[in-house]
Amino acid sequence: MIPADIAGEFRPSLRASVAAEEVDGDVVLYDESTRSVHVLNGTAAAIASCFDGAGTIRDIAGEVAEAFGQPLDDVLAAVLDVARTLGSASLLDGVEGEVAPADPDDEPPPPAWLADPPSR
Amino acid sequence: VSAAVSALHTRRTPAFRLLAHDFTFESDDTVLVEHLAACWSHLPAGDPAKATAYGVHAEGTKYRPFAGSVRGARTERPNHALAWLLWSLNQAVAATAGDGVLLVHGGVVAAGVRGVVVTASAEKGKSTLLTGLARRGLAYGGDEFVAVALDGGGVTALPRPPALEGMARELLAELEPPNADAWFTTQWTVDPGLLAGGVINGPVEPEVLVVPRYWPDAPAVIKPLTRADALTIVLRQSFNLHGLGRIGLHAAADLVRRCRCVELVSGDLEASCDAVLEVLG
Repeated sequence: MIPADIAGEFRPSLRASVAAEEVDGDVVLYDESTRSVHVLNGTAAAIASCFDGAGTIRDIAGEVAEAFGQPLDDVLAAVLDVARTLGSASLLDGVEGEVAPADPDDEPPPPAWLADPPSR
Repeated sequence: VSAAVSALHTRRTPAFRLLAHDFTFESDDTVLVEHLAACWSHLPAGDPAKATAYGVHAEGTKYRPFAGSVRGARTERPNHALAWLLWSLNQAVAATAGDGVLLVHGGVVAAGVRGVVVTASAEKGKSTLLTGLARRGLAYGGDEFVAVALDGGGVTALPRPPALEGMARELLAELEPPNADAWFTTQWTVDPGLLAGGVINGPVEPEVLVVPRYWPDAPAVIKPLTRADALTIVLRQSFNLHGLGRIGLHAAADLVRRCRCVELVSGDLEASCDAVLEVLG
């Protein structure tokens, strides 16, 4: 599945390789497989915390809309947006994102100042 | 014969330890050896038997650096030879980070054990700010490498000497190393023991995390960073996050949770130091 195909019946869940840290209401995600870092603001983090593979996008939107007294269509659009964004970042199970997994045998390159010998 | 004569004149520093890398330095330039020995004298002693030998030797009119068994290119410019050597040393230190600490590109200064961690990518004014703060009385705890504990986010000062480039050399002219015209034309390696705050070596309690950005002639402007943004920056400046995985993420998160996190945009060193000292309180 590609991110654009995520719809109301999809059951989103973060990949097992994704670690999360909550700091001051925001969440920072680190994906060990792609070695990428992502920041979710408070709203996106709250939505993403419901991505446990149990509920569908529509289920999650319904619960959030009820809890916060918001129109279902608005919340559904927000949940779809978060799911597609995380999907594009290759953070969701079953979604082919744009960030390719790193080769576990490849050492990541050091920063340029350390990688390149001095030229002056 | 010339090699034998050179060997007679070769001086070597004691062994020092930076993170888990033990090293010595040798050269037939006695003044250079004494200067670098002073710069590194604040590091723990290394094991001479395990130390990697670094050095620069004159070969006729040229200079040949080496780092362990690796020989650098011969050059007529001694500063090129030394720059290659110091770059090789940095590489070796970063490679020894292993999985015992999260190693972050940055530096530390401290008031007692209350630490200020400065982290940024290269050429953002990090070394200048650290040295300026140490000149203003904070203890110097290292530049280039910050070791963050995996449990709790505490940091260990690793007082690698500061390396000053560009404008920093004019602002901190009193720190000019000996024979700077030969060995240190692009970058000064300076003795942190000459700074007013002295040197700290060991555990520090991080309280402030500063992300500097040098902007020529700009007044010092300091503004809060969200901890999420600070965490992202720390992760991107780490050398061994990918080996540590989520353990490294947790360590970096613990570090930023302990700190007031700020971004500093400035082209004014004294005003920058004032601003950071005010945040530290």
